[in-house]
Amino acid sequence: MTLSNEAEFTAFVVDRAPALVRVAYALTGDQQTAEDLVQSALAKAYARWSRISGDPEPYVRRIIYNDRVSGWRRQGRRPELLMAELPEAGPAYRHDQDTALRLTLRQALLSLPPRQRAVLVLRYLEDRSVEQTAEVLGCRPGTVASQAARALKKLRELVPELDDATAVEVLR
Amino acid sequence: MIDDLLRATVRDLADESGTPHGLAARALADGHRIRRNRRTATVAAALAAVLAVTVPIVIARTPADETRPLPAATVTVAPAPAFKQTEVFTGPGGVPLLSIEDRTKTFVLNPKTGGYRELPAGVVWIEPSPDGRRAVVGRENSEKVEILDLRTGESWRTAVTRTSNVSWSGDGSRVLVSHETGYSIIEPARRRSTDRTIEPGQLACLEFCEFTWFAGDTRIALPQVSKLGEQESRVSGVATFEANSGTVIEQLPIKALPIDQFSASPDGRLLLTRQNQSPEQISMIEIASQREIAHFSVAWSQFLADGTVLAQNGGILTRYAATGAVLEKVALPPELTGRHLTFGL
Repeated sequence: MTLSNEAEFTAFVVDRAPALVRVAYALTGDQQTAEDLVQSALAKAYARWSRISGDPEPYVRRIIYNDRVSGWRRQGRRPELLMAELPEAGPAYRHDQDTALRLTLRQALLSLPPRQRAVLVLRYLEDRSVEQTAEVLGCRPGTVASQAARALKKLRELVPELDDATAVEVLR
Repeated sequence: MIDDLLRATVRDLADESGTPHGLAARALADGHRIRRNRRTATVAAALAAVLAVTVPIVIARTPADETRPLPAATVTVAPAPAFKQTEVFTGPGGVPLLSIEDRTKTFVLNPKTGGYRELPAGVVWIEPSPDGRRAVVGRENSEKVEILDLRTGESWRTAVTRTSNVSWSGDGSRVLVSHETGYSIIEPARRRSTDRTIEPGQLACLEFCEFTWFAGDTRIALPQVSKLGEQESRVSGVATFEANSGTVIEQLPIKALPIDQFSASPDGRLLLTRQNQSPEQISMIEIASQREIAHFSVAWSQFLADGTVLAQNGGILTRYAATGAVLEKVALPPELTGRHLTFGL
């Protein structure tokens, strides 16, 4: 590892860390856990920085998702926050008629198993196709589809207000 | 409907994330540890195989050296001395062990007590001065260079941003930090730092300019690079500068990168270098003749004050003469095996 690599890596982190933490936050629902997840992924990427050809971001994102799905933990850190109450609305919340439903849905999302949540984050935050999601998670497209279907079924159980639409939409 | 709701909810959730601070420094520290541990494990396995057939690891490379006899007898590995956290551990050549790092903890030699104390969890990396009096420490959420006085515990956060490795001068009085347009020299005793900008024409660097101390602590060195194309470049020489003024002294015809710390022999005659893509492969170069004196495959190496070279290869510390001959080998105690170790001079 050369200092030039280190400078390049640092520049990459400064530029892309907010976006990476944003994804990790959607996966974890907690700032500290999200930063730990990103930090671990970046460290792994740095350890083989000179061997990463092209844009390193897809590589780092893949580590983030896979670490999360595979039950990544870091000793001494706070466990994932499971909220008993709805969080205070932040500035990002729009005060429209869907706000209450989305807050309820948010809580339900955070209760999903990591793999199901990862599928939904890839599909709805990153707008990945089923095939692309499967590629990132290292599984078959059929697995993505089944995980998405289970996630939607679980969300409907947790949030009965959701319409009765089938899971077809998310499987497209 | 459900698609729209989910998309909005996931994005609202992601938008709650805050701006991370100090992530680069923390990731770098962890990344270095991963590499060190990986390298140590790899090298340990290789060394075990080498030791099994008792082959010396010093290889003469140049035709002129082909007639030079290697050491008459293979140096056997001395058993590991005991390690006690309350006492100074000394390596070959009598140099003190200054710091011990593993994945989660950092220990540093306390110059007052002579024992090793654990640093707070917020410290993610450390670079002790070779005299063991101070250390540069990196903390979470801070990208400024911070100097810790190991005798008093007082720390000083400098105004210098750490964008590369930091390196101590051999006498432990100054810290060198490289920047894109030059370098900073920090003088902890005076709590002063000086920035030097180098003429762009002298900054034919790799992607980033990497200054290192040169022999005598008054000079610094900077590899010069020739571009071979869009993606490829090679080291075409090493420029030396007067550290205080930034004035160019000379261009050395060395076509490799000086190692990060204590790369030059005290007399300025020899230089430890590495190749960009193979940092574990170290060459000892005679500067005047550009002749490769010896070649080591080691995790790290450094010149000591007496002109010998100390290196670690897996669980073995080896001290080499300036000829490349092995002088002594000592096994590390289990408490230090697999850790990143920093020794003084």
